[in-house]
Amino acid sequence: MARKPTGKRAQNSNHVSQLVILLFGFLLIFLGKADLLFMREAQMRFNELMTPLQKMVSLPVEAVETMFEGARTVASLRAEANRLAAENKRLRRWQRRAELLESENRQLRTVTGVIVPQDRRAITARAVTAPGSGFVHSIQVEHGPNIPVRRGDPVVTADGLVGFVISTGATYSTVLLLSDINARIPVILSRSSWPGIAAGRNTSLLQLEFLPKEAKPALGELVQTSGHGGVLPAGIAVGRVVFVDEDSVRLEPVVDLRRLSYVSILLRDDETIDGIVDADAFFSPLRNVTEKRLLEGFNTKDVLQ
Amino acid sequence: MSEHLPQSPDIKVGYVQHRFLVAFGCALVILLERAFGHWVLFFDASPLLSYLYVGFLALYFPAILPASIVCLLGLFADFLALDPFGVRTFTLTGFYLLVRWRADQIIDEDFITIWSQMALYVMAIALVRLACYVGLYVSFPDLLSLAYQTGMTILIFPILFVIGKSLAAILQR
Repeated sequence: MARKPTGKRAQNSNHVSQLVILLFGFLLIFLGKADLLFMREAQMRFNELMTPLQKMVSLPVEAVETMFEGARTVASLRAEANRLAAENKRLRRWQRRAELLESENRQLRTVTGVIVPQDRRAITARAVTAPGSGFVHSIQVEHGPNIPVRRGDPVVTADGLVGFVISTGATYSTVLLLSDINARIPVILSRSSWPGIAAGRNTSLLQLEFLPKEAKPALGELVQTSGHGGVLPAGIAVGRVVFVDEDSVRLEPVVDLRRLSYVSILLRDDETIDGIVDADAFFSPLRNVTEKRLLEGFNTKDVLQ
Repeated sequence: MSEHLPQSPDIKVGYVQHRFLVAFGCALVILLERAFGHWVLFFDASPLLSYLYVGFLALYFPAILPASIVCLLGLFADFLALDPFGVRTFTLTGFYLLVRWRADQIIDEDFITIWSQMALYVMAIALVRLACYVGLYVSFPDLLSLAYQTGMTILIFPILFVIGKSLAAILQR
């Protein structure tokens, strides 16, 4: 029978195994950065498996939050009532204005012949997790089974864009919030229509990048999706300009990402980008013909054909 | 550590059960940590409960929490996307080894010393996480939120310490 190592030898082997485990953890970071498809799939499946348990664990936390929120609301009830009355008055004025604009808009549409895109339908989903970390701004949403959610589908609320779906499961999907460092949204300034890219920075504000030098964004100006790239539909509110200087323009998302409960996923119909663009047909590799080679990538058979 | 494990088969079975219980507890703590994100107060800065849990056990009950289990728990957190993939496994294991390395010096000290040492380790780990993030994205995260998260973790340690000690006393009875 093999004897177990004892004393200093056992301690040394123990230290080595601990270092190996630490090294394994370090290597995992690179594996994660490689963004392998099977890893993403595995992560999604695992999340889907754990979400019911996560929801159970979240219940007491949500109860405590509700309790605190209730206490806070009672304390500020009077101020809240005054604020709501003022807001109500202001909203009534806006409602009248909106009715006028809606009527004007309807008339203009008949003139210009603009067709409202009919290639999307909205489904409601519940946000079941929150980021909880400043390093990854993504959430899980529960949309129910047999819903054809696909990667890239935009997620919105009544206020505007929340983010887009990055991985999907049978019942749950992962949504990358537009504040995540990996999120890049093609946008335009609503007044001047200059295009740019709203980039997340894992902070509460977004950075407006690739804006032409001629563009002069104004503070408070609304920024909306441009529809460039064909993944996100045009005209969804993204944020408002809150900071402008020579080097950078910052946006505040119109949606309060910290208070998400229910969201809408805008599902694509088949005849959109996935249906139209067959990546394999466009980007198939050259056939491997072992004839006389002319240039790299071309051969005699291809040229003759 | 494994060299402290008793050799009797019955007691070994007991240790396996304890390890399973401890790992299950830690998985729940990780889920709880994620659940804290629902609270507006902790939207992107949940207190790092899993580090405190692992730190406490590494300090007082290292025999039932080997590095391999810590590594698995880190993987569990990574699959839940609490941090960029791999960062939690690396830092959680690093935190565990750091506490184990310093355990002999601080275990018999008074509570304030243990707290201050834990605060130092949590800050060190926050710096490592920050370095990983900067290395991965060549960009800085919201430093205010990271500082808030680290600060809340340090502040919560005494509460978890008391809960942990009480639970340990009840279980040992």
